[in-house]
This record gives sequence, C-alpha cells and structure tokens, in this order.
Amino acid sequence: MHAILSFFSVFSTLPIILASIGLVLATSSFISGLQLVKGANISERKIHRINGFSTMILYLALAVFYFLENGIGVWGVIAWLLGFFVIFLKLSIVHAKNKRRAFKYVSWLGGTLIVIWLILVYINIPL
Amino acid sequence: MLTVALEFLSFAGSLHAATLMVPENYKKIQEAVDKAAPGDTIMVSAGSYNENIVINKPLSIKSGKGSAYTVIRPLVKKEPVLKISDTANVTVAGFTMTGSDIAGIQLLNARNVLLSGDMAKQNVNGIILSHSDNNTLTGNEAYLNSYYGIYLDASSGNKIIKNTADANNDKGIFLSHSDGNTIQDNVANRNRWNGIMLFSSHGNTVSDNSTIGNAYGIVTSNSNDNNMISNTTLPNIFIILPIVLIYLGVMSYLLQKTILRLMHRS
Repeated sequence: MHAILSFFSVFSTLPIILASIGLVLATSSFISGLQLVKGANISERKIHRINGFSTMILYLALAVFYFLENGIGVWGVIAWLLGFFVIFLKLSIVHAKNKRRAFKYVSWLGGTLIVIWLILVYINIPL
Repeated sequence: MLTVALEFLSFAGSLHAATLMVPENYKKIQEAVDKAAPGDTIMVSAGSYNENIVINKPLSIKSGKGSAYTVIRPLVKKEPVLKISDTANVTVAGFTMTGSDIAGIQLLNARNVLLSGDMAKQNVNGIILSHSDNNTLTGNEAYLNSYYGIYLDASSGNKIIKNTADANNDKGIFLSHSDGNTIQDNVANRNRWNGIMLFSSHGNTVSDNSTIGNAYGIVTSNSNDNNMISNTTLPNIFIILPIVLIYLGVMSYLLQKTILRLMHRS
C-alpha cells in the first residue's frame, strides 16, 4: 500500500501529469503507426492521428511550462527545437509524395519520438 | 574536565590492558564489561548471547569469528542490544545485533568510538548515534530494520565509511541536525523511502555512495553547505514509471482499437 501511494505521489505537478499522458498517447500512436506501415486501416489511421495530434499539443504545453519555469536559455531552446524538428520531419515524411521510400524511415522517427517522451517524463519527475 | 578524566583513564588503562574471554572467563558479555578496566579488551567466542549490553568506559569488544557467528539478542526488547554512553575510545567489532525495539547499537554522548564489521539487522533502528561526535563506523551492515539503517541525531564530525544500509523500511542513512560528518563509500540500496537523507544538517561531505532502488536516492531538506560528490543514485520511480506508462500506452491502443471497431460495425 505504501509503495502504491509513493508511486502515485509522483504525480504532484502538472508537467509530470502532462508528460505521462504524452508518453501513453505517444506509445498508442507509435503502435498504430507500425500497423499502418503494414497496411492502411481506417481505425488504425484514426488512432494514429488523434493520439499523434494530442501528443503534439502536449509537447507544446510542456515547452511553454518549461520556459515559464526556467526562462529562455540557449540549451533549452535548442533542445525543444530539436524535438519539434523530429516531429515535423516525421510529419513531412508521412506526407511526402514518394511514400514507399519514406516509410522506411518513419518507424525510426516514431521510435525517436518515444525516446523524446521518455526524456520528458524523466526531466519532469519531481524529486 | 570529564574529557580529560576519560582520556587519562584510557591512557592509564592501556598501560596494563588485559584480555577478558567470554564465555571462558565470564558467561555474559556484560559481566566482562563490568569487570573490565579502562583499556581492556574483551574477546567473545562464537555463539548466541541474550543480553542488553551497556558500555560506559573505554574498552574494546571483539568477536573471535566475526558477525556471522556471534549474535547478540536483547533480553529486554525495549532497550538497545548494545548501548555505548557517556564515554570515549570504545571499539566494537564483529557482532550481529538483532531484535531490539530501539536499536541494534546506540551511541549516546559517545566520542571516538569505532564500530567495525558489525551487523544490525531486524531491529527498529540499526545503528543510532545521538549527541555523539568524532566516531567512526566502517564495514558495518544495517539492513531490514523497521526505520533507519544508520541514524545520526545531533552528532558531528563522524565518519561513516564503507557501510551497507540496505532494505530498511524507511531510510538507509539518515542525518538529522548533524553537521560536519563524512558519509563516504556507503551502499544504501532498496530502502523503502530514501537512500540517504540529510535533514537540517550542514557542512557534511557525502561522496562515492551508491543509492539504487530507493523511492528517492539522496534527499536534503533544510540543509546547507553539504558537499555531494560522485554519488550514484537511481530511484525506483525512474524505472517503474516509464514501464507503467508504456504498458498503459499499449492498453490505450487496444482499447481505442476495440472501441473504433465496435463503432464501425454498428
């Protein structure tokens, strides 16, 4: 009981709650994305898009929280822009005309996005 | 004045130091302690002893075979197994203290005490230093205690080096209102709450310690000017939280898929 309570006590700040929801949605989006690479399916596409879009909004919200709390520093700006770059690169590859070649790299970028969300969870765990 | 008297007694005693054997000369360790002169050494053979020991004079107590073979359990559970109080220059080496509702070893107003190779397990607290300065704890193990493995309360200038404080129900090593201590090369893993905690403690050096698998690794509260160098910390939450979240992500995907399928069917 004590262990469960101490586990839930980690959700004591808004950024860690948002980052946790982001990782959950990013995972759902990643799995549905992998299924989409195999073959088009309406429900998979809907899951992928809804979850993907939600994670993008959460990413923006976390970036705003970060800069409000820490101010605007060079390394912070570079790190958040790198994250945005990965998101937009993935979107641009998905929407590219030559999709067969592009899809080879999409799953790697999806994996990178999961890593980004893991980092976001780690940096927001309150200690 | 008391300090000078204690130092003198220690010096005078060491000139004619005797070795008392337990159980050969005395059945109980406390009997040997009572008969010993300052500076004497008490050698304890392997075995299990049921008693509460109180030391208030400078002497050495050593086990013949080490802590795994020399176990002391309290006769009165509401007292520490071993209490060293109002004295200096005591050495205790190679015992296991277990089963006390207070502590395995308690130092109260003690100075220059050396605890080496002792084991304090399954007590309420492992080793407590209270108002005790300039003592050395090295090579001790304090684990599976209900509260703290090693607890320093209002104690300064102590050296806590190469000890293990694992799997305690609260904190591994806890400093409260204790300044200028050295906490070095210790292992405080798998404690339920903090590996090492400093509360209202200033000017301590905490270096090269390992705190893995605690709820939180090293925590400082109301504490200033502490030197934290090269400690290894990995709280449990860093491992558990991502696993739980990814698991929830997979579940969320399956749930959404089922809901969308049902919607498309209808």
